[in-house]
Amino acid sequence: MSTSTHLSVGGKELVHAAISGQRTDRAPWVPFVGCHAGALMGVGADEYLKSADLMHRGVNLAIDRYQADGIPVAFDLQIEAEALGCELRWSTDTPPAVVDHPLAQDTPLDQLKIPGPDEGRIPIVLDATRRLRADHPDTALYGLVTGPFTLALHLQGTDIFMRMFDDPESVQRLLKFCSDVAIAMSRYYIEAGCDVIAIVDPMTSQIGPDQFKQFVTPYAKPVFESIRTSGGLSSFFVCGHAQQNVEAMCQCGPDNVCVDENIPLDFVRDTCRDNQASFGGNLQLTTVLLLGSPEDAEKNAVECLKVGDNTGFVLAPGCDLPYATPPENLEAVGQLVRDTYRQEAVMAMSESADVQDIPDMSGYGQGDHVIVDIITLDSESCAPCQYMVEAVEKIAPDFDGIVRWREHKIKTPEAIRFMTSLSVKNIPTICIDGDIAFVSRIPPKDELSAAIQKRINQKARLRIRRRQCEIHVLGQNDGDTIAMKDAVDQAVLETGADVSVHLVTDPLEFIRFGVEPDETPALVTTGHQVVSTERVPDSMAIKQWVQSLQ
Amino acid sequence: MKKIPVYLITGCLGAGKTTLLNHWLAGPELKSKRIALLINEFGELGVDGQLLPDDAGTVFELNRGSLFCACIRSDFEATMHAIADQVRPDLVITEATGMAQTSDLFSFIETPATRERFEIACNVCVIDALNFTKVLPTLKAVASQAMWADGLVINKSDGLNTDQVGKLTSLLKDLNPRAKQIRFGSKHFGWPFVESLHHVACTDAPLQAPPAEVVACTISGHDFDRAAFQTGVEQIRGRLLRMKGIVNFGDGPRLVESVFDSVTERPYTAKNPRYGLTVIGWKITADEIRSALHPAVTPPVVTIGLQ
Repeated sequence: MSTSTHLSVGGKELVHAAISGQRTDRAPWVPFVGCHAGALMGVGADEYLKSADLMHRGVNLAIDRYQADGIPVAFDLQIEAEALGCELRWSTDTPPAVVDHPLAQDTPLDQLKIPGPDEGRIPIVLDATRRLRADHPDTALYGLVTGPFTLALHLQGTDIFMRMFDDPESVQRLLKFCSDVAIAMSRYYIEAGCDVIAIVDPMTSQIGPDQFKQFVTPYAKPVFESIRTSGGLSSFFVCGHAQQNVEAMCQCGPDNVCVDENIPLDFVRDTCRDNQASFGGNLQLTTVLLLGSPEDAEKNAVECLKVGDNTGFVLAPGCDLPYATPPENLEAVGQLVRDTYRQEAVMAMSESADVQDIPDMSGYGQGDHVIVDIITLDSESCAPCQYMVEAVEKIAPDFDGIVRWREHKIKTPEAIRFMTSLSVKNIPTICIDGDIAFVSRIPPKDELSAAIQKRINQKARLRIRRRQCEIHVLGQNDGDTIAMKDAVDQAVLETGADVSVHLVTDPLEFIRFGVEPDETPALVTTGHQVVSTERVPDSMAIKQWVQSLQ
Repeated sequence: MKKIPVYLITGCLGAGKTTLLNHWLAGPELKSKRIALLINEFGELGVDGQLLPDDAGTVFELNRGSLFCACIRSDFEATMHAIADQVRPDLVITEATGMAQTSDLFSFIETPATRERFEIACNVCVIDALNFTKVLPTLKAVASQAMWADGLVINKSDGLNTDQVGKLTSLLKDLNPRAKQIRFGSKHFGWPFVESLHHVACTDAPLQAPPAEVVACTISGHDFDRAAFQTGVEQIRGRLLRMKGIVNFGDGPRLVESVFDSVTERPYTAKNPRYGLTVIGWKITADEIRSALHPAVTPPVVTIGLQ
């Protein structure tokens, strides 16, 4: 049973409300899918980022698969640089890299003109935007624009850092130009149908707040003002170690600030709220989304959601998703944001202190009873858990005391340890004698009965197989002992019984059977029952004992 | 299993990282070694391929330009694993982008999967003697790279006089007391220097801002009194790293520059000069710099005409 509400409508409204700082029913989910959409189609990044058709198809796929409330049309911070004459080096699994810098090669700034909507790959992303807008009126579309500082670095190279000291005026002229390019790009995207313009300026993480106020703020501010005037919403993205600049970023006037895993999300939340901005982030790109499991992604998402508290918060990865991100990790996040119950379960699991000393449960469930364990969040507060417990509770009496059941509420370290030791990953789950039987769904009565009955039958078979029918003949290897051993062998032959016969002649072993050496020859049957001592019984008596073992 | 040693070269773009790398490769010590180079830097690849024996060296490039942040971590890890699987080198030399904070590079190599196969042998930072103090207050990575180096190779010191070189080496000593320093081009500045270093792992969090001891401030003004200006410079002697700007001492616009305490000036002939000074100080506050130099600023005389 799932408690998800798969509403594809409303994502856009949700993103609008969250970016505007409002409280929302749930946090919107905006996977920053860039060239990763190429991977969904088996197409390299170098092909994907050059084709409006592929972008249109790839983003469509990502919206559906990841249940995205919002999504960028493209994630490529080299589009403007390329249109301005930077040479790119293409790669199959990352966005392209800028490999030369026109201004460092004596092209004067005056020669650079703000790119028009038909230059370089700009028309490709605008075409993809228009098509996606038509397909998805209810999904928020993000237009990603290279921030002024990062674009200046593309055009000038790292020489810009020397120039900040040597010739600050020329750097400021360049930044003013880059700011105008960002304003133009924002306008193109808004006209093509984007709801949110994200100014992505990762290189600002390289500098401290003093330089930020001098070389970023004056050039970022007009971009956000222009976006607001054009009727769009804005986000200021940065990745890297930029904690020192978050406040200055807010003061540039964006509606929203988005960061990556290098900045604690609660710090961003508090700083943004103090400065009337919403915030977003900051799922871990590599360790969780690329290299982790869906469970890791859920856990990380829940941590972010908890900080976001559905108030002015957008759940998003910290940056452009790696090309080879496993889709199931992102699908898990898409489902989780809509499933408050699943969030609670994941939260409870993640809050359970780190699980140490996992008991070895390999021998669990070998007793006479069949044990049914129900791993729940808490049947008193969560409906699916309650139904699952009720299903087991109802059916247990039908088995006349053979079935014992227990609920384990994963709010205690003990229950978490128990759950971990049985390898349970989802809540609620029913285990029968330690084996996972039903995961996250309430089994119909007949199915549950059948599963328990199957285990009862299995145990019965095991018991029969395990019954050890044995007769031990204890003696000193003398004539009496040999005679008794022969008589027992004969009785086994005549009755056809499945009994194994053992001769024990070591006096030290006799004591194990509770027999003293002077009491031999003795006969001991299964369960160490001493049936005869100090004599050889007649063959009829032996025959009866053998038969009674069956 | 023996771990593959990784040698890191850090330093600002243009500091001479590739020149140093080529010098290492040309030396006799690495001639018989199987080497993998991992390059992540702007622009053209400057490694001299001729120096790598045909079958004994491989160059890997990270295709992210300058964006050495969380985005590149996955590429870096994948490349390291490709190196371990395909090349099985005797050693890896990584030339990092000038934007990389050393702690980040370490954290890339210190991931559980990578740590099993590689270990950082040492970390050498190339210092651009001419530009180091210019970018120190701006670029966090420059400070981080110097502070976490096991060895510092000082390049371009020919452009400084003996006194200035002395001041630079003591500044570097202040930033990183344990690092061995050597002049680029001096005897044994190649692989023997690398082998003499003692590696210390970087355990601190990345820098949030340039070091607090470095301060940059602007002195706004057009006309300056030369004697008062010289007095002011004298007051901050020993704590002045760099100064540059255009002022008028009464004889037209002059371009004033300093490298540490050596101040030079010359006429400024370009049109529309932008007056004012940028001053970078060390272990001094912006207020102390201002109170030393503000008395030299001559406020423009405002004449109010009589009605």
